[in-house]
Amino acid sequence: MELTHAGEQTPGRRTDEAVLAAIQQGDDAALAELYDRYGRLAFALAYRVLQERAVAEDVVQEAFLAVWRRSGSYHADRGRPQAWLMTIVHNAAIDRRRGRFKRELTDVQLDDVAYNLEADGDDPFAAVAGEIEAEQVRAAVGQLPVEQREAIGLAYFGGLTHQEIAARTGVPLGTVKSRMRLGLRKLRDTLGERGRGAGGPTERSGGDAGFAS
Amino acid sequence: MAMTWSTRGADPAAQRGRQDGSVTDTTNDASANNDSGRPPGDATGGEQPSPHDAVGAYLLDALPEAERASFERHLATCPDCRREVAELAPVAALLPRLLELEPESDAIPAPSPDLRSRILTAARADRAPARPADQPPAGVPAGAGERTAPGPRRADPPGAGEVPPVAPVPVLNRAVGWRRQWLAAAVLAVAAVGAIVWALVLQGRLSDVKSENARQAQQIAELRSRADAFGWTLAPTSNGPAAAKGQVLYSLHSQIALLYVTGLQPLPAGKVYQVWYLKGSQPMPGGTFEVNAQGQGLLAITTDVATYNALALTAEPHGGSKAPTSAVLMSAQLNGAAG
Repeated sequence: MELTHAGEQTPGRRTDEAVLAAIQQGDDAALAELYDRYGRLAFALAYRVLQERAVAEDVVQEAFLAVWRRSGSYHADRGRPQAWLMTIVHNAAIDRRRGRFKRELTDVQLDDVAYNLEADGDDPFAAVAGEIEAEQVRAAVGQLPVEQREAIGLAYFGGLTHQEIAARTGVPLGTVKSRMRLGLRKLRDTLGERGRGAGGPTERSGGDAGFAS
Repeated sequence: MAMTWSTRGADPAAQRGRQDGSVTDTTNDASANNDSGRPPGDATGGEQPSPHDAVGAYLLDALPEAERASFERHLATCPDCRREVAELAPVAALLPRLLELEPESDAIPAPSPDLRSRILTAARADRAPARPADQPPAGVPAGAGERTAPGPRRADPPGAGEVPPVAPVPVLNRAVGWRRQWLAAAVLAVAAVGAIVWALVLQGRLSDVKSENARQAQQIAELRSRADAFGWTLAPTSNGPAAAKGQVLYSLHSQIALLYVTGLQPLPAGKVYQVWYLKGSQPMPGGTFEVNAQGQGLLAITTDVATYNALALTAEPHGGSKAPTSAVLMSAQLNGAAG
């Protein structure tokens, strides 16, 4: 029995591509669905970069409106819709961060319920698949040499430019750039062969092998 | 799994930047001071670095504005860089997934409940979403929270669409990737969707999961009620516990199968249950899992279950075996799809 990827024909949840196609047609319920799927993750990313809830919300709003307006420019070789959205969010968060002249390290009062990223609560299959992927990414990052992991982390989540990373780590600029590039390439190699980097539960080391560095 | 890429504690002076890309007041690296507007050079001075080197920084948004624009101009002329961008952009876009594994001590607050409606209100007010590719919307006033150049500038580097398609890779292109991994038969054990439970399972400690049982049971109930889940039933063999039951639920959409069993005995330390896929005479090894004190186990399968004739479970030493070393405890016939 040959299985086709017939997501649109399957009762239940439609593919992200189908949601984007509906957005292109002006269906704002589809935009709402995209937010329901990825709004929390988008916010988490923006918040991680900006450390302020109100600004992070602005960025998320900006990003979803950009998707709304530019859904026509999306096509499959831009990558998966989720990746496209996250790229938009990240760009906007970094832009916003760079526009700030004064770094305010405000400690946000966490009076909300702790954020436990269980996206796709209504689709356990997607949630499980998502968890598997997330764990694979964690494992792959954990396998990076620490200097590559650091460079990527400072840039992507810390929002620093490569000059700022060079200054902070005391490493030449060319080396910083090279570490970023090599780190991404290594991640691609690891994640490109699933099961190699992630392994199974019996092969995995516990604890925070991921990021403690 | 604490993630320590924290933005706290970063030196404020080192982070001050301007939209035009010049950086001032960095602590000790004179070469990073771009007041003159010259293209940035290597800290060692001397030779110009290769423009290709910046691809990683570009994809991580670590290039200041002027350099980013300069790199995009370079991209327009460099097919090698375009190819590398096409290959690595999906990797960078996977990094946010790490946030899904944040332990609760690093909790990110929830966005305001009204963010969703704010977005939809703004979208409805802007009633023209579908545009020919890459044309900015005309006559749209910049509103609250908007910037002058919204959109995926970096996701649309010039000429990226002309790169010959790169073969999609597993994980990075899930729709094709999961199917590709069938022969590798990489199988992961999943207890429930929660990150903490997941962490315990990955350490092989599903039996430690106690407080999650109610949610786990609910997840399993949801899985079984999914309209798009095909299913096969596992039954115990004469060697397995008479009360054991199992199901394999397969989602066409997610291309992922979940094996759910109840009534299996918890195994002594050093042993696990292992799944086998049968087509012809040679069973293919699948993943391993443990059951909790209630005898429940849950396994996520990315092997294309439906291409095999049967599925079997045995008890094996920790880490699994290449061939079964003990009697089959449960089995399912897979031919003929939904069962």
